[in-house]
Amino acid sequence: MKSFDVIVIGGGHAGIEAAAASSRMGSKTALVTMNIETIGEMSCNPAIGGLGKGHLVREIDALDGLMARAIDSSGIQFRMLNRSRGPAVHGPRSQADRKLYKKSINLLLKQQENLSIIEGTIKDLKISNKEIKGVVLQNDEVYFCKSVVLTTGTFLGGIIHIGDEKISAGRIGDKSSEILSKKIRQLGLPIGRLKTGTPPRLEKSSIDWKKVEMQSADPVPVPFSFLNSEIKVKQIECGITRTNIHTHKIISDNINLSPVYSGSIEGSGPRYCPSIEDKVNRFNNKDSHQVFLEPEGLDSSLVYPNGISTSLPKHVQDNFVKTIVGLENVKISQYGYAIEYDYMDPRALNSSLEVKEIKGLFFAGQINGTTGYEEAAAQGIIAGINASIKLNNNPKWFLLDRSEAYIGVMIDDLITRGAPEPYRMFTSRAEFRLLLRSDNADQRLTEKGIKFGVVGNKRKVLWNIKNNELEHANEIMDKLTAKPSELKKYELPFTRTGQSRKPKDILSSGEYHIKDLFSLWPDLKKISNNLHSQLETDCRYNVYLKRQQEDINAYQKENNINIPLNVDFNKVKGLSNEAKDILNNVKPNTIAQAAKLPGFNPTSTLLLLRYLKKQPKEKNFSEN
Amino acid sequence: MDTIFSSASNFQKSALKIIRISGEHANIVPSIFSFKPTQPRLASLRKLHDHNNQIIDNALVIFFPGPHTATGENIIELHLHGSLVIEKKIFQMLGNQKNFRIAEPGEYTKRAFLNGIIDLTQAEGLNDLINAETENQFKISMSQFEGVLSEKVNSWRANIVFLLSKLEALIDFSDEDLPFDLEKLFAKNIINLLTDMKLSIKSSSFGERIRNGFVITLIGRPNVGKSSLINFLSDRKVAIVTKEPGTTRDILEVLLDFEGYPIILNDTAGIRSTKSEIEKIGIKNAIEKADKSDLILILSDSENFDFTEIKKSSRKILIHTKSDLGKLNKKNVHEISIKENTGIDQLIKIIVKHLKSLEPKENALLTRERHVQAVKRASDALKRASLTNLNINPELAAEDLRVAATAIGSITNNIDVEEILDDIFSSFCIGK
Repeated sequence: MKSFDVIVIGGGHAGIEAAAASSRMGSKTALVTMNIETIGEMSCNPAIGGLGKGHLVREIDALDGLMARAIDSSGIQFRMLNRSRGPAVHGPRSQADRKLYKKSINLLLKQQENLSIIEGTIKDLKISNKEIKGVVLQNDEVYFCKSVVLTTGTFLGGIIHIGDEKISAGRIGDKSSEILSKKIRQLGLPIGRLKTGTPPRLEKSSIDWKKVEMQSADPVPVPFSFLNSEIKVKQIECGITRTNIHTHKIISDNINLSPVYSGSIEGSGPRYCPSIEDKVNRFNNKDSHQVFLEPEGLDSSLVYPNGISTSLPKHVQDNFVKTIVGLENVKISQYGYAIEYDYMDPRALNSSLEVKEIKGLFFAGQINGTTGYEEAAAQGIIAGINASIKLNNNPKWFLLDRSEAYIGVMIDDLITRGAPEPYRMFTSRAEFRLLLRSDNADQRLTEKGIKFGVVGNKRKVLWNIKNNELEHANEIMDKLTAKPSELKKYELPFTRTGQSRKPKDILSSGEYHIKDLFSLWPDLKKISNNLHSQLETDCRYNVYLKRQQEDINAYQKENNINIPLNVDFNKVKGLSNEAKDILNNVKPNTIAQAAKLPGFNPTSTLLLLRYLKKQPKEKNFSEN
Repeated sequence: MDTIFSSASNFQKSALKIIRISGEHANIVPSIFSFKPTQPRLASLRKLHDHNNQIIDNALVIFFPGPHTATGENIIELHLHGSLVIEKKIFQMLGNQKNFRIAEPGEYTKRAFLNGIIDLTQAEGLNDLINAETENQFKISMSQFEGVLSEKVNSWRANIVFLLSKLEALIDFSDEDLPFDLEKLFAKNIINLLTDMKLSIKSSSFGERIRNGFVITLIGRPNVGKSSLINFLSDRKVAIVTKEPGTTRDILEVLLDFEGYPIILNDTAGIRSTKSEIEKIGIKNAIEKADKSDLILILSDSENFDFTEIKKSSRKILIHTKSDLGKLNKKNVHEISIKENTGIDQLIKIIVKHLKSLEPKENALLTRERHVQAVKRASDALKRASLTNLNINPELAAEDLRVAATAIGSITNNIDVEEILDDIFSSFCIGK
């Protein structure tokens, strides 16, 4: 009869971060997985990061999570997306060597104190009085615990489709979790079906690389983790090719053999990484789509063709792939497939990711309707932290709002709007995008992480040093000022109104660097070189951020207007029945959340706000 | 929410009265007055009874079931004979019902807004419509009430959001090939928007003037006939509220309607050199008033029309008074005689012609300061966006587009709007 503080079910990207986080917080944690060999497995695209996703990885790192460090040790083609554009839309991304990534994750987990990794299948949750007590394994063994984090990914009720072949599986080669799936449904939680897909894998040696355009890595790869200053892994090139009208013809001729189009899969798929069938069907005025040929590892024989996710029958895949330039003689080593799986409507969760109806039960990852490793890992770290906090007598949850982090944006979107289709992060989801940059994730989150105890010593020390340096640098810059005549002397821009200018005024245009100001202001040389880029970026956005500060203040104020737990929404004057239904179903905790509910218009928010203002003060609130 | 009721002209005698009841429980009104419910939207005669089964009135009843009604709620209208006693009885019986009460000023319109039947500009338009006293005021407020301004504003917003979505695609899908040339599209659309908005702001003063009245000030030396002119006009049909007959008080300001244009005509102290401090103040006020006017009428009974104190750039019309005593025959001087009632009608025509020349081609006018401020904010944001290099800093341009969209959106709707709502609706008279 083993007992733990926190049990994490599932060793995918969410489970890894959850288990590591709760362990870092000092809780006795168990990570239970059906197959120890697959911890750290990348089910689909062997890549980490991108636009929005890269931001999540940096934020996970700022809270001392593992993903960034793992990709820094295994990334084989680092590219900063939108590199030529403003820092707020830089998306760090890298292809990974799958083996190296898994190795790195497993090493980090091994080094983690308080963590036990157990191979086993969980068939039931022990719940009494709507509170988690423990888990039950296949062999009927019981583990007691105070919190459970469920991170089962696509494994609950997973069914793989290739043409009309159906295999029950959580991922190709891995069996799905059936019994647990039934149990979750029995808990009365709102379960739905989603689908996602993956392309075939190709034999590297069978590709005609001469016919294919090559894309190299960035000359100086920028690490994901704030702890790393350089990337030592060997960098490789990726190929770029395209589909053509012949490809599209084969696909459209056979479209009815695709399980989605033939109706054998229910569940909606992601709009943003649609299968090639979807692309051909929906964008039929485009006669070619890009395909990236991404080697799966430094010594791997496989290539991942990014852009042709499919679940067409095997013979159709053989045919259409061979019409693509460079792939005329290709050998498919694993066919593409679609997978449909159970997910839970995340509106059943609080912003701490705890299930509203069941204390101590947390859900994180693809099971909440998201798609992507980064989205899963970001939820995992939050769930892990809160699962640990749950052990305290008066839990003060670790919550991030939309003005603090992309993680906050994602969780807020999920718990208020649900996931009608698989949720993927984009920078456009963040109204405070200029503030939530990938370069300042540590400035935004590490201090908070330290306060809550999820940041380890090494990072704490490095952060304090950087923080002090930044403060010192800002002090230096604030004291410096120059008159128009001096600026003119050094060929720097001056105002006609005769106003003096400070370094931050000059840097705000983005046309100058700190180095350019050395001759006018020699004191700037005292600032260490590795801070220059950060300081220049901060200045660049300052004016816009000042303007946005009012919005941010208003948002935070609104977000902090809590809605008491026992509010009777039916009593709010003027609310339509539809709005009342929405409120009763979702039970938002703050005004800001309520405002975001689909179908809840601004005047409904106003009415709710007025009603709350008139209420007597002594109601009790959710644990915020 | 309570069910509200009021009459179109509360507590006043009139031949007919309409009592309107709006709210969730409006449909129980037939049972209150013991008459057979009517078919929706069918005007039907019904006898209204009190508790003792005495007949209160024989009324025309129309029932409008929500949500597709003026307020978005159930509405029932009772068209009654205009007796104050009938009104009182009916109000009494309604007031005794649980959850029924008299409507507050502007409450019907407020509910229409809260239920999304009309937006803020339409509510404002309705308010203006009720207060309209001239043909032009009617035209503009009706048009705003009908949603002409909303349409224009919403199309701006849709355009901005369209650009924003393209820009977001550029940012979030940078490594996929996108087919369009964003820079050209952006430049073209923003220029169009800015031009449109600039025109709107320019025309807005006209819209405000139509609401509030064009300010015209009379300037001249003492005793040239300023007061005579203003008194004369205040007695005529053109006056919006005519002077009480038999009064001899001099008017300082009169509200006039010149062919549909609302005018506020101001009399002023005669301008001359003086040692009197009081008079000096009066003259100073006259000059200030003239500076702020839309039009200055300079009156003189001699050849001298020079008033150096008046700014050269001001719009003026020169009027030679007492023309019965002799005309000047100058080309740019208009002749009038109050005594003989000549030249006045032509003067009015000239003034109208002048005001017409100010009228913009625009029919969707911004009529309030808050509209103008919102459009200015949006314009500034769009200007900044147009100066941003889309390839280098698309996120800054996106930010500015968001600011612009929000600013424009605030014209028809507003979230932190408590004070504005109260402000708008409290200025309605009771019964609307």
